[in-house]
Order: sequence, then C-alpha cells, then structure tokens
Amino acid sequence: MSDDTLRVAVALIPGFPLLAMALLAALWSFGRPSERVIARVTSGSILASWLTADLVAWVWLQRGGATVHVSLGTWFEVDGEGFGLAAMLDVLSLTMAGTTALIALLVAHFSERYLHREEGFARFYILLCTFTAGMLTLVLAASFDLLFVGWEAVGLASMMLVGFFRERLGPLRGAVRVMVTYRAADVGLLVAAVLLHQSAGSSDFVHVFGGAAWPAASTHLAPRVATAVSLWLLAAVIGKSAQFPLGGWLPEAMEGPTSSSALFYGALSVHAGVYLLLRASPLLESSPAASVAVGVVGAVTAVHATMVGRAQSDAKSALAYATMTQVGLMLVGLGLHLWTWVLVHLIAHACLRLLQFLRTPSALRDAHELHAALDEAPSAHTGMSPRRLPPWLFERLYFVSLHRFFIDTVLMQGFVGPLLRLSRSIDRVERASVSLLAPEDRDA
Amino acid sequence: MRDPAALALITVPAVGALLSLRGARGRGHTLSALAAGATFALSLALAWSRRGTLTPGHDALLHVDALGALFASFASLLALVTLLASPRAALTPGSRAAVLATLAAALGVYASVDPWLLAGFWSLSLAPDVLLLRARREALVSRLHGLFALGSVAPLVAGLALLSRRAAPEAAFALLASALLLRKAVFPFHGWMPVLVSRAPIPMLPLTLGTHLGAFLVIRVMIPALPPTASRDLTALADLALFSALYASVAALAQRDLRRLLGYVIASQLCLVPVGLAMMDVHSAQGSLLQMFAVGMTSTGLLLLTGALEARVGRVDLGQVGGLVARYPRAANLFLILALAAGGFPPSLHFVAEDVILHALLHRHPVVATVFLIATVLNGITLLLAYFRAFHGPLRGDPGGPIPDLRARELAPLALLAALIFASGVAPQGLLSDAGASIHALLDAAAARR
Repeated sequence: MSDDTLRVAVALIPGFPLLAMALLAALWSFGRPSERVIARVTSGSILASWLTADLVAWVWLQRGGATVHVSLGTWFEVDGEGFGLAAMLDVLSLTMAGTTALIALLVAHFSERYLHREEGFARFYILLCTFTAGMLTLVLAASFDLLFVGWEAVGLASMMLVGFFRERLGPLRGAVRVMVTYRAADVGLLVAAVLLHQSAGSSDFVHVFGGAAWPAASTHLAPRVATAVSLWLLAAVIGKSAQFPLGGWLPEAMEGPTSSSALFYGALSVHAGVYLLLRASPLLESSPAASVAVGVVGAVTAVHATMVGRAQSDAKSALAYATMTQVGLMLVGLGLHLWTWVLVHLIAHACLRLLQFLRTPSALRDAHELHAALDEAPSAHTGMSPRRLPPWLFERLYFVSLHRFFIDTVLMQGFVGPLLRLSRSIDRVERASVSLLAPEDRDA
Repeated sequence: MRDPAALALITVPAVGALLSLRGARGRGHTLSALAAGATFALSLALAWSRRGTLTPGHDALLHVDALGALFASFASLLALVTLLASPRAALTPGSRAAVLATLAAALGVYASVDPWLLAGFWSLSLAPDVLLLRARREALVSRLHGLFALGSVAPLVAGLALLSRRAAPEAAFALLASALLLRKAVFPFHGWMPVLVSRAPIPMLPLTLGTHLGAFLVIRVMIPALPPTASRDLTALADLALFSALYASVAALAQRDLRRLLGYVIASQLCLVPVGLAMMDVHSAQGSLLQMFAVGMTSTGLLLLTGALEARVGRVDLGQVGGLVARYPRAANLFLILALAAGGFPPSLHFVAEDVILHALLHRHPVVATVFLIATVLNGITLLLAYFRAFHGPLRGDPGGPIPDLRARELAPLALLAALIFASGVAPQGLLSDAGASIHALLDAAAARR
C-alpha cells in the first residue's frame, strides 16, 4: 500500500462514521427515514471503518510494526503555526481503533431491535455515529490538540445520550451532571496541552515523546514539566473516567438507553481517560510524583467504588460502580507503569462490561431461568458480608456506602455552592447599581 | 479621493431605512429585506473584488479595503437574517428602519479612512437605537442606553480632538481606550449589556452587538496613532478584558432569565476580542478577527431564537419553563447547535478563534491562558445548562394551543447561520487569508512607529 493510499485509508477510519452521521442528519432533517435505512447506514459505515482499521493494522505490521506518523494535512494556519491533522499508528492506537469500531458495530446491531419504534431512534444512531467518529479520532490522533477534538465529540454524544429520554427529569439531571463534569475535566486536558505547547513548542506526540514505538517511547521534557502536564492530564481523566472524587456522575448516566450505557460507560468512553494516560506513559515514566498520584487516585477509587457498589439495589448502578472499580485498578496499573497489562485489562474489561450491560434488561429473566434450573432461589452474595466485619463497623460502612461517602454533598457545598453564591451576589450588586438609574422600575 | 462603491454601500441601507419607515406592514417587511439583501450582495461583490487590498494612506475619506468589505458582508448578513427571522410583532416600521440605519452607519465606520468621519458614523450608529428605545418609554433601558451612547461618543470625540492637536497622546489613547471598553462591555463598563439584551427589542440587538465597531476604532485610529510607550497600557487593557470575560462568565451562571443570561455570555465572549487586539501580534489579531465573526453569528442566532421562543411562550424564565423540545423540536435542535458552537465545540468557528487566541496568550503566561480557558468553559456550561433547562424534562410554561414550531421564515435564516458557523470553522483559512494582508500591514506599521 502506497503512502497516499495509507493516508486515505487512515482518514476513512473516523471518516466513514462521520459521513454516515452527516447523511443521517440530512435524511432526518428533510424526511423520516425508516429504521432499517438508519440502522443499515450506521452499521455499514462502522463495518467499513472496522475493516479499514484492520487493513491499516495489517499494512502497519507488514511495514515492521514501528511507529508511523501519517500526516493528513493542516486544518488552519496562522503565521506559520498550524493545527495539524495527523494520525499515529502503533500498537496502542490500532488496538484501540479496532476494538472501538468492533464494539460500536455490535452496539449498532443490538440497538436496531432494542430501540425499535422508539421516538428517538434516528437521534440515537446519529449520536452513535458521532461517538464512533469521535472515539476513533481520539485514539488515532497524533497530537493532544487533535485528541481533544475527539474527546469533545465523545463528550457531546455521551451527554446527549444520557438525556435521550428528553421528557423525563432523571435523564435531564444525569445529562446536566455529565455535561458539567466533562466540561470541568476539559480544563485539565486543555491546560496540559497549553503547558506542552509552552514547554515543548508543540503537542504532537512525535515531538514530545520521540518516534520510538509505544511503550518504549520517552520524553525530553524536564521532570518538573512532565509532572505538571501529567497531573493536569490526571485531572481530565478523573472527570472523563469517573474517578474519585468526580465519579458520581457515572450511576446517574445510566438514565440513557441500555445500549448507550453499554457503549459509553461499560466499554469505551469510560476508558478514554485510561487511553490518554497510556498515550502519555513517557510523561509518567519521567515523573515518579505523578505516577504515585495516578496510582493513589486509582486505588482510592477502587476501594470507594467497590464499597458503594455493594450497597446499590439496582443492576445498572451496581455495574457502574463495578466499572469504576476496574478503571481504578487500571489507574493503579498505570501508576506502577504496567503499560501492556493495563492495555490488556482495558480490552478485556470493555468486552466483559459490554456483555454485562447489554444483558441487564434481561436480568430478571436470567434470574428466573437460574431459579428454575437450580430449583431454588440463587443466593444473593453481592452485598457486604457482615460475617467478616464487626456489626458496628459493618453498619457504619454500609451507611456511608449507601450515601456514597457523602462525596456529592461535599462537592456541592465545597465547590458548586460557593460558585453559584458568588454568581448570585454579583447579580444582586449589578441589579442594585443599575436600578439607581430608574428607581421607579420595579423589575430592574 | 472618493470610493463610489463605498458610497453606494452606505446609501442602499440608508435609503432602505427611509422606505421601510414609510411602507405599509407587508410592503415594509419586503422592502427592508430587499434593502438588506441588496447590501449583502453588494458587499459580497466588494469582498470578492477587493481581496488583499489595503486602505490608501492619504487623501481619502471613504474607502472599502479587504477588511472593511469582509466586515461589511458580515454585518449585512446579520441585518438580513435579523429582518427575516425576528418575531413579526417586534418588527415594527421603527425597528426595521433602525436595523437598516444602524447597518448603514456601521458600513460607514468600516469604510471611513478619516478618523472624524469614523467618529461621525460611530455616533450615528447609536442614534437609531436611542430613538427606538425612547419611543418605547422604558425608563431604565432608555437611560442606560443613553449613558452608553454618551459614554462611548464623548471620549471618542475628546480623544480625537487631542490627537488632532498632537497634544497629550497618552491621554488621547486613554480616552479612545475607554470608548472601546464601553463598546465591548468590558468591566466596569459592562452594566448596559445585560439590561439592554434583556429589555430592548430583539431586532435592534444583533447589529448593536455584532458589528464590532470598537475593533475598527482600534484598527483605524488607535493602532495607527499608538504612542510608542503605550504597549504596557495595551497589556493592562488585555488583562482587564480577560478579567471581565471571567467575571461575566461567572455572573451568567446564576441567571434565570434567558435573555439576561445571553447578555452576560455575549459580554464575556466580546471581551475576548480586545484581549486579542491588545496583544498586537498576528496570532492574536487573527484570533480576534475570528472571534468577532463567531460571536456575531452565534449571538445573533441565539437572540433571534430566544425572540422566537418568547413569541410563543412569553418571557423565557428558566425556572418556569421546561420540556419545550416536545412542542418546539426545531427550535430546540437549533438552540443546541448554536449553544455548542458558542461554547467552543469543534469544529465551530468559536473553537478555531479560541484556539488561535490561546496560542497567542501562551507567549505571556500559562496562568493567563488558564483564566481564558476557565471563562470559555464556564460560558459553554452556562449555555448548555440553559438548553437543558429550557428544552428537556417535563413540559412546563407552555401556554398550549395550536402554536407552531419555527416557521420556514425563521428556520431557514437561522439554519443558514448555524451551518455557516460550522462551515467557517471547518475551513477558516479563507477568512484568515482575506484579512491577513490588512492585519500584517497594520501591525507592521505599528511596529515601525514603535
């Protein structure tokens, strides 16, 4: 395969779902396409994307498996400084691209029947295409700048699918919480990119990490800079991958359709942060302090989520906390620099959770079948075991776990509340000062 | 030396304003839209034919260069969209004439080479709104707008007088800067913005907020007359504008009235324009330019959409309404698209503009860039929160009855605006190149002076 053909093929990996999204949006705007057409267009585009990703991976292997930087052009350029569009082909990006496309394809196929005659059928598939294009851009991007574009598309699709059932209050609250957390986390990624631009003059992976194959790459940045960038990336990961203390949005995000929960919060979106830190592994290798911070956040999340998960009464919330636990363990692995193990863990966990989430609508039926097969009720052993703990400790732990360790309350009263109070105070002062101009105007 | 095309560009909307004042209701709508359409077509032709041209240095009063033609096309487009998509009840003969008269004055500012002529058109651009608001007999907004008009014209005239006498250039610069700060609603001169946006008639807002006459004051007068010692003042101006952007973004968070909320968000986003202009390098100037176009388009779209919603459900109080997507799905989808664009979602023009300005800020200090980022993120959160609160959840605050969703007359111009903001974000290089020569020439001249 020539370099030009490879360039086209790489662009088409996220390009196919992007084109499908545009086509579906156009069809939706000007008419009412049938469910079959919508599902076929989506599945066809994602299948094409998956096959292209496999083809590119095969070509990459044929070329010896070294890191390949594929330049696709420049988005815009000011005074010689441009926003480059480039992909990085290595074992990390191609593994993630293949997995992403395959999982999205399975979800597209599953959803055709699951969402049959649902009012938002077309909207779901448009958002699925947006997500797939965004996630593929995220994993193939050769710079933090372009990665951010994919990161935003994933966030948008996630937020809109949490609020999929637009007439209900629960999805509204969940979508708002996801949106606020994601936007706050974006600051971390953006500041990290800003620091990289300032210290290294670029956020291109080749420029920052050198051209060595992942995970052997290293960075020429000073440890102090590497620590600062890594910690800001960790802040982004805490939001995006639902880590302590910002993980409370994940159970609320389960208000969306089950298939989107499976895709986003079981399989792919929740792992975007892990991918980000895997990609930034050279930074963590040169910064022991940041590695410790990553490991500690992961460990605290794992302990917190496993305890809270055991106090949940519904299957999807329990699964959400189980996911948080596993992602926390991945962060522990990242802190210990077990790069390949974390990648294997990520893929295995994504597949397992996808299956579990997609089975949750049938959980009662499964339980009945199990009951019939065993001829007795299966024992419920998912909760905390009181036999291994003193009763007083068990009661207290259960209480705080049931209230999610009061993290949401602390965040609300410690951060959101003061910001809103400041905003209201400003508003009061402004209204009072302006009303001096027209004291007779009561609405001022 | 005169430029007949520049004269024609100003005359067409001015005549349109007079005719639409006299036209009957239906005929007046058509006449005003035709005048705005003709101005748009003429300015597009000028923008095409004058790419890369610069303002002549001497003996010219009026001349449309590449930058002026670009802004003229943009302002005419905003006027056309406003006249097509504003609620019919708000499009009185007076407001139609005000839109076209403001457009004519703004085009005069873009085409003015002589500073006094620029000041004249600047003052004229405020007159239609002053008259319109006085006729409505709303004391607060009328007085506040009067103060705004006086506060932006008086220092401009005083500054020009000092400049023409070649006396006290620092004082002249400070006076011109205060006119700019008021026009761009920079703290502490921002108080007029939320009140005007929440209380003034919808049709007068897009051109008042989206024509960026303050930027032309900088480009045509302040930078050419810049005292060699003023670079530290410019840095202070950029810092003040940045603080103002953050302040307005925080103030927007707690707003319940959708129009007032938009007022703060637009104020915050407008403050990023002087941040870029005051940095005096190509990166920041180009970023400012894109930001002006981006804010103009999204604020026009969001304000007109809010006007359309108000015409259907009354005042949009986010504590009182909700679930409107069930009744007005087209309005909901358009609001979401415009809110995402205004929140800097890629590949909108806002994203590109903010990226370019951010790169310019990087040359100063990461903390400055972080403040900028926080302000933009807060604006995004506020707009999306407004979308969710107004359109999602159980239906509330809808009067019921057979009220239709957006009509084709409203939908087509707003959809065009939404498409444009993403299309210009996908391919911004044309905009950057068209204005590049003017910006390079301007900054080279300023550097030579310094």
